[in-house]
Amino acid sequence: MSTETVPKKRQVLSEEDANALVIEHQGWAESIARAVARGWNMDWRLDGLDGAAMEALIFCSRRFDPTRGIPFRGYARKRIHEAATDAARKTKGWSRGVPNKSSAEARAREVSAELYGVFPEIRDGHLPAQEGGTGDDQECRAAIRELLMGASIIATRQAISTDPQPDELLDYRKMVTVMASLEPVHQWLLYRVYWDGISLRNVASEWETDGLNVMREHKVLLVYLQKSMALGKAAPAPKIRPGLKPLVQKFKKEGSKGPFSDVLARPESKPERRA
Amino acid sequence: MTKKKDTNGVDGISSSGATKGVKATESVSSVDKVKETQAIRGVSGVTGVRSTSGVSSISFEQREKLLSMVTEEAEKLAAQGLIPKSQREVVEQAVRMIIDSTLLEASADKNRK
Repeated sequence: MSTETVPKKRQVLSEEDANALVIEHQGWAESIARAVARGWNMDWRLDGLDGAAMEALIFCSRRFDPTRGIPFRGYARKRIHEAATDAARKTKGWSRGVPNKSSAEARAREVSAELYGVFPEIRDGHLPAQEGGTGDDQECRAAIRELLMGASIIATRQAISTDPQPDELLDYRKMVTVMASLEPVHQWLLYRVYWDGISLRNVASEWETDGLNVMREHKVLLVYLQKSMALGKAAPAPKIRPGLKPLVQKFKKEGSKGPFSDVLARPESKPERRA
Repeated sequence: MTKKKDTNGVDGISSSGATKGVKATESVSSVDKVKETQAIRGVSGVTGVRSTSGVSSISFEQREKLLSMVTEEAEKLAAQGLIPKSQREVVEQAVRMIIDSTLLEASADKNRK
């Protein structure tokens, strides 16, 4: 007898019910578009974020399966938010910033857009989760520090790719030196997320490991980077958690010392990507 | 004269009672039907377990507080050299943006309901 389980067939709503869902949640979807526009200093109607949010809402209403036990807003929020941010990034004003301001605003937009990939829970209205979280101010501050560190890595990396200033080159060198003292598996984790722009969840699937292993290790690495940058030199490298040990062997077999170690050894070369 | 055997007060043994019979086992007349299982209606919350990953939901009411926290934490990290001076403004603004763009105003939504 076969033990394979047959995936449950999706049970979507009737067109009438789906339309009712759209009408019920239209205001909510618009509030997502307005939030995105407010955050990025755009106009939610002129920049077409309202249309993108509505399209995503209609799409979600057609795909929503109520038998799965997930509330509609829980299912649709991330998708509508993504649609609104994608629409915002396609507008002409995206990379220009506002008049009378430096390009800092445009750069900040680029950094924040990439930050969604590292911390996708933000789209659902959650700050990055903390171990033993209690939801108090201290937890919020810890989450904000994590976001700032992530943004700092992205900003430093982005700066180097577009006409970097001498101080930006120095900052980049300092950051890469600290990262190069990590174990190869840790170096690759940071590289895949911040250089290749792959989400933590996708790195976990690529490495065939549990998502929590990667997410928790990422937090440890950010704390390590904070310590090292504060010390001005590499702090003692964190240990590799057991769930990622099989990868150590894999990278060892491949002879990889890590992308940042490779960059320092051969400054002109770009690190070879690992699947 | 023969000596009477001392029987320690035991006068005699009556005959052992014969086993009259063993009742035959009875056939099983019926077995109750297995009752249908019922769906679990709910599970009470787990108590006494430390959460492994708390999730901080943020709301529009916390906006000002959260944005000022970003500025304070960015200042601290920059003072410690954790954020490069060249990136300070961009980094702080990016985090303010990402937080602000996820805070939903409830007013319009409530009006529709």
